[in-house]
Amino acid sequence: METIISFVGEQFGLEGVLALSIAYAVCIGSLLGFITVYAMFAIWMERKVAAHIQVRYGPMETGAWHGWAQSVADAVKLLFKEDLIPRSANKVMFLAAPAVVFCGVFAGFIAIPFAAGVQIVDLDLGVFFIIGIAAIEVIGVIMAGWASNSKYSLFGAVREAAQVVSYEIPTAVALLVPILVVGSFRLGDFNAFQEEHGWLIFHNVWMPIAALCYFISSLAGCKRAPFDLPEAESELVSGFHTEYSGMRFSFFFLEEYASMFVAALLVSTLFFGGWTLPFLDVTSWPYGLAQGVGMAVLLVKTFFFIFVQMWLRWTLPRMRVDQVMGLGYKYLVPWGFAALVGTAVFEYYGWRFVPGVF
Amino acid sequence: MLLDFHVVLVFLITGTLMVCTPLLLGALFRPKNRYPEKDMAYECGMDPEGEAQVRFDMRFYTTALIFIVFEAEIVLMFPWARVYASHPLKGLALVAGLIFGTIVFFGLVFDWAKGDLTWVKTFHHKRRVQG
Repeated sequence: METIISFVGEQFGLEGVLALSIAYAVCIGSLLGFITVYAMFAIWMERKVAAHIQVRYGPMETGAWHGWAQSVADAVKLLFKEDLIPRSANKVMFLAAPAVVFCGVFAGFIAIPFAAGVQIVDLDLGVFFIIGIAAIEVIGVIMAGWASNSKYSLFGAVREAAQVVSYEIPTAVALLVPILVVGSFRLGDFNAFQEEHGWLIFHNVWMPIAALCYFISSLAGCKRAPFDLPEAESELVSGFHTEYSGMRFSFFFLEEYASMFVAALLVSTLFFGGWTLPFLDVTSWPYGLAQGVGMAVLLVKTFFFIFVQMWLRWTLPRMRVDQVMGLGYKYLVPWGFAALVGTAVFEYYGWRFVPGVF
Repeated sequence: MLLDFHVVLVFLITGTLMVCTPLLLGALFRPKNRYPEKDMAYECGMDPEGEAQVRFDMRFYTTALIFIVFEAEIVLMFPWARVYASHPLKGLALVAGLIFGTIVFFGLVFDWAKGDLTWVKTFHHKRRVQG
């Protein structure tokens, strides 16, 4: 954003409020465009991945080439759908819920670095901010479930709240491990550190454990299978958004895919080197090229992890509710803590893989 | 910088607008054909039985309490992790972190032993009475 402000200032001599509002317009416009296009692509990709895992074709007709326009057609269809609000619903909460859910994840995109300097604001509290603002989603979900005044919605909402809230603890513990090593919350600093010292996943023996803990708990945080109890279709119709239809429903859907992106991007930024490559010194390249290549590298990594999320969804059966709760507290939290304490001790002595040797 | 957070506010407002715009746009096209059956809450095609805003399972309350306790503890660990790499007295920081971590871990073990982390609690004393 600062780049845009200074660019506008130099090229057109604009300053103050005008430059600021132009910067806002560019950032918001590009972010909205990015999220929409990404969500459509991810939904299409999910259908194709699902289809090929189950040995079928998936969408093939819409838009000629492998049904690429299927999501676009779906979006247009959703726009033309009737907007239903149940008579017994609490109107204000029912209407506000999609906005609350969407805002949380939308604001989370602010702190995400796509490439060196391609970031809306490099917040001091980057990582902390992202996991904090993503937690707002739970409030929106409870609002939606309670306000719908439908039993399925209520059960789905409380289940989802319990699950997401429980998995926030392993998420936070696992994220503390890279923070401990780098000593910063700023996402840009993680990239700089990994450019200098190599990917954090290879930093010490505890890092893969932390990365795995984070990835599993982020799956649960996004309500993805095998943790999709809140929307278990065979039990709860579709959970907290049973009563939502048309465009309002699509915001819950959009939010799910956007939070998948944030989770996958955090994994690739914090553990897998972000926009850096181990054998290529991209940052020393000329300004535009380095940004372009960096962004491409980051997106490839991110889409790989999104692919893994989809792969797991179509491979593993859904877990039982007691297994979900047990996994979070009895396995992920202790392992996360072990990784945290282990990393602290290893950092103190300067060990990396085998204590006392190297 | 605290000033950076005005961006967050602006984005929260834009996010709300972003939700409202397609809805308003859709209002131009979408059909409005409401009748009583359509306005009912969904209950597999039957008329809804009673109110849906009922009491729900007590276990969710326990889960929420455990969450609040642990989350508060972990928030306290964030500043520690932030300064650890550059702390001048690293040994002291390590010991402090270990002490705090041990306390948190004993909290977890306590909850575990009490059975609050188990979704389906088994009451051993009842079984003993029956046996």
